[in-house]
Amino acid sequence: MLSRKVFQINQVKFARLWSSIPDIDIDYYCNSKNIAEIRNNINLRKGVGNIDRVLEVFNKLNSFPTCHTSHEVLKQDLYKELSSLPNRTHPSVQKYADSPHVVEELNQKRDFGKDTPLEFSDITRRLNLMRTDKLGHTCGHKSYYFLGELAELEEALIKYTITMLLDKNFQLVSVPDILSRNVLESCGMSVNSDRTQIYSLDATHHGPDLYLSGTAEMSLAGLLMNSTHSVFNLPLKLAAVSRCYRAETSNIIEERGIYRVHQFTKVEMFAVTTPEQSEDMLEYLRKVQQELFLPLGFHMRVLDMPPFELGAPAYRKYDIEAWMPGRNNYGEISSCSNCTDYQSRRLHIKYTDNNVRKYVHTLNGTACAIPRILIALLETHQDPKGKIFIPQVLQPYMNGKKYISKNIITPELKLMKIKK
Amino acid sequence: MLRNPVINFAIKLWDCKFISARNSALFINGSKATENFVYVIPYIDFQHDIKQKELIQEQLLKRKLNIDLNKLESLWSIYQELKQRKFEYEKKREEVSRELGKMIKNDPENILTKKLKIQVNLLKDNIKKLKEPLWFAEEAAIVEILKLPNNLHSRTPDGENRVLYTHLSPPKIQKDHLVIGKDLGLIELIKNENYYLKGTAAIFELGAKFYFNNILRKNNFHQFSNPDFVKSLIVEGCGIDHTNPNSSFILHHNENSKVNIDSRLHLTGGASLCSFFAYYTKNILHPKSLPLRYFTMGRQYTPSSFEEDSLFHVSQSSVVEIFCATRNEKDLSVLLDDLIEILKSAYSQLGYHFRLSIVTADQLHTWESLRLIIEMYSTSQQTYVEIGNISVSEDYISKRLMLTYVENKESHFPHILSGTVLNVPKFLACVLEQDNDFSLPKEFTVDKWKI
Repeated sequence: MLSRKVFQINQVKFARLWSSIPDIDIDYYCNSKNIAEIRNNINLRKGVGNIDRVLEVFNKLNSFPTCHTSHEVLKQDLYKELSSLPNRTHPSVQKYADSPHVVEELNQKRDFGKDTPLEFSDITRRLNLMRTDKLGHTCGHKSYYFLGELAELEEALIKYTITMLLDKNFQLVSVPDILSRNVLESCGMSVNSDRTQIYSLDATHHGPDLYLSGTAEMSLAGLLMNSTHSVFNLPLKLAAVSRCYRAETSNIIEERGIYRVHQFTKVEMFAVTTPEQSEDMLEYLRKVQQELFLPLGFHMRVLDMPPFELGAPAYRKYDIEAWMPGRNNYGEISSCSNCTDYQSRRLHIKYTDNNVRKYVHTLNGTACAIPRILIALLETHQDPKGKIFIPQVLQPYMNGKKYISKNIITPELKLMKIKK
Repeated sequence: MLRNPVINFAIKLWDCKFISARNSALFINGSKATENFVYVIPYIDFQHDIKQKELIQEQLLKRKLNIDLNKLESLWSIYQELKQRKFEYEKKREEVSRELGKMIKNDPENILTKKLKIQVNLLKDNIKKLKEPLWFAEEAAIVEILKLPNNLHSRTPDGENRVLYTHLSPPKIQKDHLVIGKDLGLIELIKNENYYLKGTAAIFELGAKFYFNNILRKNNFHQFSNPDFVKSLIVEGCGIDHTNPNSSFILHHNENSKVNIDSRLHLTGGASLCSFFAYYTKNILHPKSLPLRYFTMGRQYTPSSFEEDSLFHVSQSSVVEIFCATRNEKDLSVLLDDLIEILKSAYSQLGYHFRLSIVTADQLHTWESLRLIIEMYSTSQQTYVEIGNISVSEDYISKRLMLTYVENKESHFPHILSGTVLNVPKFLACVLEQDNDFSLPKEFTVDKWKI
């Protein structure tokens, strides 16, 4: 038992060292001709990364012969600096300045007449469909339980989404939720500090390198790590249903309730393409999202996000925001990004075309993030008399039910007081 | 007056502070209760339970557990005697104080008044001195008592597992699910902690869960969707050692505060008994709401302690979990039989060989009084594998986590039946090792997802 543990940890360390050296495009980033463009890109994205430092280390590195002891240290340093640079930005997006470009608006806002629509948490309290109260001592901050028909609606949404994705020839994958650090970092997550967005398992108890996946994108990228695909098999379209864990907390009033939670179920799409295919694939993923959400009946707008809203890996990103009448605000329900070769260079995902090996482009998009979709659904389809209309496309997955009504089966919560 | 040696022993124990050796998230008293918020106080009636000492002894033997009941009894009696002594001191102090009150009014300068004053102070002093040893004795006794296992159910067999039902006969051709899974491009298993199901296997995972959900809904089970984390208190409450990293995954402490071994977050998965009890801890139910018949689909995470990597030993599983609460043993027994019929029919329709058995006492977890297992035959392991189960825990966990219902103004503890009625990776592994070539059961196909 013990010897096996040690072996495993060594293996993990080895794997980390081996694939943690990203193959970043040095010809581009370390060419002084490109410095203005790169600096401009970093500024636009208001992100981290220091191109001057990259060049400084690069020049220093070149001044030492390869055999010099400083060479290896400087090389590591260079890769560290290179890794923190963001992806390039799509030329059209560079022009957006600080606000997103509205690509499309879908469905009308529902007219509630003189009624004031309720917020998700009020609706679920009235209908006894969710518990968030007094859970801090038993399952931690911001936990929630869906009860009865709300849990059924969650299942219906997964069934509906997966059915459509399978129809479109996505390949379904069931993914692990516990991942090693290098996979996360290669996807563009920073894992260094205690104030990270990522949960990890206790290192003394379970080994030093186990983190909880924040999205299936990471797990799918992990599956593809160090793989080479034939150009004939591209584009590759994958989908996964998984639990997502996020340690970030928020005190912003707009993010109350289950808008931002630590754990949720999500259906994710992931695509692997040639460089020539990736722009079309991004449009395709966005269309799939629109096709999925449109029949759910809530109003939404599709946004082409400005440079500063892009995460480091993204070259271009579309967000879809749904109108949430109870909150009287738009809320992000999905995003899809073209990461070009940012992730594939870090994860060594390649394809072969006429015996030439090149890096693939990777893309990802949300197909259904349960809590946000539920907020948009319930707030849009609430009825002043206190029931919720189920969109027609979901009804077959809910035994033909047309409405969600008050849950009378789960008893109303009554907690004991401690007597001292 | 008390026998001094006992007290001395207790004080000595307390003095050498080997107190730090104990860990309980469930029972917190004394000075620790001011540092840690006490959310629940478990119900313990050792006085009553130990009357059946011989029965407990016999059951410990059947479970092959090494717990020294005599030691428990002596810890308990130290605690009781100290408690009694404190009670006597307090009674005496009350009497003396009352007398002193009268005397001060009437004759404050009397020598007797002064004497009484001294006596009250002495008693106060004694009570104060007793406080910490009493805490310690209480803790020492109760932490040990909490380690006692559940009673054994009358249907738990001696000797060997009792097979209740067998459907069809076991596969004959020797196959290995990992080899087949790899050949068909269905499974990518890197190690027990990291694996992927692809294509039809991934559809199988969802389809299997949806199939069982549907059957449970038809049988009046009510759906839940649960959080995946629970606190240490719940893990210990459910009879699992919360400090043991082989029993549950412990999360890294993200906060700035000091790490407290008794107040950690554990990743158990939402489809677990712990997650249901995190909901029902300290709940007071109306008797009319019983029985509770709940289910959830989701993840279950358990650290793997096996050297061999296979779908039988993975640490992350997709499962369907049930949770039921009844008024009493009798109702629970009816429900158990009802569930056995539901499982028989659900699994029979899939056309694979399986059997239902009740396991012997030595295979039970401490919190279980009975476990019924659904087994399929693995040709790679050449043995039966548990692909699902139902556990009866009676009122063992209800008492620890204070789930009650009130009837005729009296509190009662509901009896609990819970279980993982389907563990997908284990089930899939057995299905891949059937004689026939693998194909997605027609009950799991996408067109069946609409109901």
